[in-house]
Amino acid sequence: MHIMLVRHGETAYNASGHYQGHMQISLNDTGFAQATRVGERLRHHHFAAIYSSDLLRAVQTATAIAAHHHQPVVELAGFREIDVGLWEHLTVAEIAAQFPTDFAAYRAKPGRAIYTGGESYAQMQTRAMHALTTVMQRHDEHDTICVVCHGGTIRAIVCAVLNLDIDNYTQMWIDNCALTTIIQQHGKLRLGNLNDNAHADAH
Amino acid sequence: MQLLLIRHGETAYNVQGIIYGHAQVPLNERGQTQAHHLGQRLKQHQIQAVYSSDLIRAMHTAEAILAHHPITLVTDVGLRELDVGEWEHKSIPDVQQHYAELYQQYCATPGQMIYPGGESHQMLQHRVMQVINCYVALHQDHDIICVVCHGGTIAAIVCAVLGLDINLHERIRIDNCAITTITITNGVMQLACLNDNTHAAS
Repeated sequence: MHIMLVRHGETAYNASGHYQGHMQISLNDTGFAQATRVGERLRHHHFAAIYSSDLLRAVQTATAIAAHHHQPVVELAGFREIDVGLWEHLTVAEIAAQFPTDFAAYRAKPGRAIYTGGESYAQMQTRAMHALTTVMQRHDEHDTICVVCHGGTIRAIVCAVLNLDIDNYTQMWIDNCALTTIIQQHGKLRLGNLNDNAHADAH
Repeated sequence: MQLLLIRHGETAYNVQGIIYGHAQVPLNERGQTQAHHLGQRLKQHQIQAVYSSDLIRAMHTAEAILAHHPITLVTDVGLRELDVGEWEHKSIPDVQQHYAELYQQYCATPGQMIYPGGESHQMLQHRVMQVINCYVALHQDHDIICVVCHGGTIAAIVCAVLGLDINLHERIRIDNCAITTITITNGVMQLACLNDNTHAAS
């Protein structure tokens, strides 16, 4: 089985560096253009299903992909971004100033520290892997499925696939609308690629 | 700084599934086509240097990049593939039969098993990271550097960058002529892209 993880397109908060977590924010113009391009890139793929986080920015991106496939977008809350709690709407500098203790804990253990009033990456990883395992059970080894979600969620899933310490999620980067592929073969998971954003260069 | 780590194009041994490390095996026809597509893909990049393993399959792949850039190839023995020692030119069923105990050791700890007369993936990682750290010290923050080498070599570098146990190196897939990108910002390495092989379809 191939699982293609797609990060949503750009939002105004991505562009300005504000944390968004579970808030409902639309793609901006750049984000819609990115979603169109990734939809074109994936138009010849045969997806057994297209899943998405139920947050607006992911659903909008998934809709641009689904437009080429006559398939519904299946929304699942388990694929949501990390719940950033009280850090929502803030920049890194603002978080460091307003929540110095929690932010210092985050810097020390970025995977295990709980965002003030929200989740830790480790908690988010548990629910995202539960969602992924659940959808994988619906498909067989030859299927390719698409899962549109978030930068944090994709990195947490990759950590689980590699058996990489969740505190090391910061060692990788995921761009808006980039592709990351997980391969399941003989019951084992491997990382097929990460952050393939070649469709962005083509324009 | 961006390090573009590139695996060599396909060889006959890749197709046949024969174990090889330092053996001199040229690109096959498909490997030459892959190298050509790779060269086209990187044509517009502002590349400051191209380093290559001195093994022929890597050097020939690097030459396809250099065809579009006025720079000289620098070869480095430190970028070679794992030294597989006595397992050179052997098939997996062959080593399963004649090196049963060592093969089991490989399955249990694929990063630490020392190939008979050769090295372990951990030893490979140690030598290649010394080489990579030299390149990082030699270049400027905005430089783009190509490093043409091998599947085992790239996986070892990726494990080091992620902080991933070398025994898990097989969980990372690296295709022939695919591009894996490491960014270095203020001395901190990050995996920016793994196994981008979009140009294979062109």
